[in-house]
Amino acid sequence: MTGLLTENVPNLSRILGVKRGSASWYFLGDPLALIAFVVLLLIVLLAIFAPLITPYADQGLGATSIIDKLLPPSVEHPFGTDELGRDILARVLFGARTALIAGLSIVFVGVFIGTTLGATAGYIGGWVDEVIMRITDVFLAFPPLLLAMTVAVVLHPSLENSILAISITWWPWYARLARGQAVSVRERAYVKAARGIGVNHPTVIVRHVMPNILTPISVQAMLDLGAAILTVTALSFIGLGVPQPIADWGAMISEGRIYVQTGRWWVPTFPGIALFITIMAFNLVGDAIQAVTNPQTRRMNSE
Amino acid sequence: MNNPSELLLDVRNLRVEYNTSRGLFAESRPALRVLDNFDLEVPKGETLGVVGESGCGKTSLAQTIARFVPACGGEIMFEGKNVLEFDKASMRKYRKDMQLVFQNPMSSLNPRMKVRTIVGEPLVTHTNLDRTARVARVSKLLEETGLQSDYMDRYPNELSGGQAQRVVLARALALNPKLLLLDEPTSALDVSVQAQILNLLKKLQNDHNLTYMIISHSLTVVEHISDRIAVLYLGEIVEQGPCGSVFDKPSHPYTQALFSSTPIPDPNHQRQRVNLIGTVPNIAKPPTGCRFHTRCPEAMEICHKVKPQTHTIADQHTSACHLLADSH
Amino acid sequence: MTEVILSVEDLRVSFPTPNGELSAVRGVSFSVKKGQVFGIVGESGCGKTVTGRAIMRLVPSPGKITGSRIQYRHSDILNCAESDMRALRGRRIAMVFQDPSAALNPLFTIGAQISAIIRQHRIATGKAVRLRAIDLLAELELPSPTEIFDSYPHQLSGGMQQRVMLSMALAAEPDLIIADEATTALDVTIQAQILELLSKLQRERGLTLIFITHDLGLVAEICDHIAVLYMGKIVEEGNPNSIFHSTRHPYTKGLLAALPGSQTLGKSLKVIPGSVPSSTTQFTGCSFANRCESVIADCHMVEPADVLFSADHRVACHLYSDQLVTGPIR
Repeated sequence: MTGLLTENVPNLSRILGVKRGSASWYFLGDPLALIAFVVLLLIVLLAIFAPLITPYADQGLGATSIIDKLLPPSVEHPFGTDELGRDILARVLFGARTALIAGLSIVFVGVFIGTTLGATAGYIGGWVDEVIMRITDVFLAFPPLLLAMTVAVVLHPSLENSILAISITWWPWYARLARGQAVSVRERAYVKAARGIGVNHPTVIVRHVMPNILTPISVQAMLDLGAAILTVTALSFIGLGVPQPIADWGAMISEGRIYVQTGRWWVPTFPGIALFITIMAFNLVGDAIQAVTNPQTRRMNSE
Repeated sequence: MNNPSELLLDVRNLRVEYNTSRGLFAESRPALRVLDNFDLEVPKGETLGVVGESGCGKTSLAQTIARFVPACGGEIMFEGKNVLEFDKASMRKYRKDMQLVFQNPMSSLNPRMKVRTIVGEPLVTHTNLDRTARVARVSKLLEETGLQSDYMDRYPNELSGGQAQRVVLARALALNPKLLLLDEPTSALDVSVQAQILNLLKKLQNDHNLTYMIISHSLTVVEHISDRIAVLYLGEIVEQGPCGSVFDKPSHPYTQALFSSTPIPDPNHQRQRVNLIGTVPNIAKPPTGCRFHTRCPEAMEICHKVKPQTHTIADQHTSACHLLADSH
Repeated sequence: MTEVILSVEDLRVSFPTPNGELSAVRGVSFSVKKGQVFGIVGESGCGKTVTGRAIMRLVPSPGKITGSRIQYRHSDILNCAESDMRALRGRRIAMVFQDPSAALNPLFTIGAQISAIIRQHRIATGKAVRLRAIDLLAELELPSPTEIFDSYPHQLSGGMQQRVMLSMALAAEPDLIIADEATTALDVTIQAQILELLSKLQRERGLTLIFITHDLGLVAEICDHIAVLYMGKIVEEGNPNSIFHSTRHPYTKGLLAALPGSQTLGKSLKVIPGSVPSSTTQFTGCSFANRCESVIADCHMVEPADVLFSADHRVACHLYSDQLVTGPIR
């Protein structure tokens, strides 16, 4: 997608003389991907250094200041203040932390559980494969958000529990992916060669199967980061996710909605824009990564 | 026949079947008998060439001897002991004594591992050598197969076909094996690289007193490097014997057809082509009697019904064909 | 004098890659006469497949074909329009590949695919199409052609699939067939059958064949004329006797000496030193110079010109430059 949009835009890679067809060529040559990447980097930096950037760090963490409630954007409060007088810019910055931590954790847990189970199922085959895959199917049958909501209702709301709830719905996809990859890898000659040397099964899985199935899984993980953040946000939006006073964009949008009716448009808008930009950035970078790692699209775009 | 104690490998009555019924709910189908009543001898220090076309079972043979595939009957005697009855400890030792070199060298190298790790893996698995000792040994192994030590840090995708084959051989030699099974060691290689690898194989055999079983569809390669040859058709040995004798006097019609079909790089070569009828039958439904009778230009009545016996043509040269029955 | 139906002059094909310009074909010139079996032989990377594809103008982009001439009868292949090329492909020049699954669509029956070609080139129409297709299958010695007509590719063996490929190549009645490693994947006994078949077809239909292969045994057996390629250039060209028994070029000599067989039993094979350079390398002088055992000073500086030994034996090598010097054979 990114490539198509930028066909006629002058090519930065050519200007800089970067090696044609390499990863950096692709990234630098695609302005949209490049901008997205820079934006993502910015978001990460802003999230990391949030307490140092804003003077209202305490409010980011939840301290209120009712006197200042619902002030419009100004020099002191560039994004205005919310219904509890907290600086929205600070809340948005701390919300970025929440989003990134949640997103990364969900993907990490999902990848870890899913890949381990899937690779084992694919490699061993037989009834182990059947059992694991049926369990996976059961989890896949549930609409992710509903399952997360159910788990969240059962456990009391917290950041950790939200992550847990969503991870439960996330790992099946990786299990399937890993299993498919493992099935094709286990037939490869180098796996048989390892067995021929006398390497035992667990070592073969770790040393030979896992490293060779990681590429499609890591690409998928990158692509999923945006979706994971969106899911956490959605969960918080309906009130089952991250509880107050933790800053979360979804919660901010949800709670800030009604104030638009009374003309305080800034309350849900800025977190909304932040969410939008973040997800777009993840998606565009994900597209670019996919294009780089997929040999076919790479060839098409290297002219 | 050879003195049994001189045989490194002695395969007797080997039977290998593949079960093709699938899953819990599918009806069971009769097993595919891929190898049947197979007898093969490999004297120590010699090279046996196994030739045959697709479907003859040569790869299954190698995989069975290497115990990647179970056998349903018969014996595989390695140094006088039956491999099929090995316990875990004996299997572990067997894996050191015997190595299978797969077809297509590139695919038997883990693309994510450096050459040094690949060649060092057998050492890690079976020995207690520390890292320095391992690296030294890997370096020596690579040198023996004609690669300088700067190849240690390369990845398989940075190697040519010939170089990959050398790495595979270096790995195969790591534990000082006695027997190497080589499945199409030079098929994927160009003529000039093939020559290098064939020379290398000969050298390694001399230096390490190795016994080889080489599977190839290329008669010229087998003729060049083997001491003995076995010709396979549809899971059975139709002819085997010393190379000189078999190439001089191919007695089985299939052998004759095979030899005469092989293109010779000499335009003046007079070719008496024996043309076969039709194609290789499906191994799931092998022909009755002599398996070759459906394509044999000299098939007789008896060939449809009765399996031919093995007849001796010359010293240690045997052939299984009814045509030879008259003279005995 | 038999007419020349294909004339190639100074063909060059190159591909831009991240690692530099890949010159697959670096100035190949040859002529093919009607009814000839012309062999192009070489190791991997020598440019033989690309040469075959260039004649059909099927070089995948971003490859560029340049050269003085590719002439098929009266058609200027190098410069004609794509629509003219489409009229040529299949109808005048057909190609057979190594892998039948590349040409056979698994979703359609054999009959459907052959009929499509017959119809497209208007060889026949209506009911005659099916009959013609079945005749073709019979001509290629396929058992039960009527059944094969209704079969799918996966139901056939490799040898039968290759025969089907040949029948598809012949369906539009071309004059020239380019076979690119067409028998490499087949068992040797099946290959022998296919080669006999090709000979028969060639005689009966007056076909011209260009046989591209790495197998020196094959070219010795079936070709009337052989061109040996190295690094995108013809190093030696001639009839089989000249190539195999009056070998001149050091590379050809090296290749022949490296072949295992009844002459070499157990002895060390003579190896060409070094390895084939990458196709992105640009050479001054002869591309074989750095591996040649008979190298002389000129080899590193000047590209060798063609030397003609007889009516049809020429070599590109400095060792013989003091003998007759002339251009490519016409």
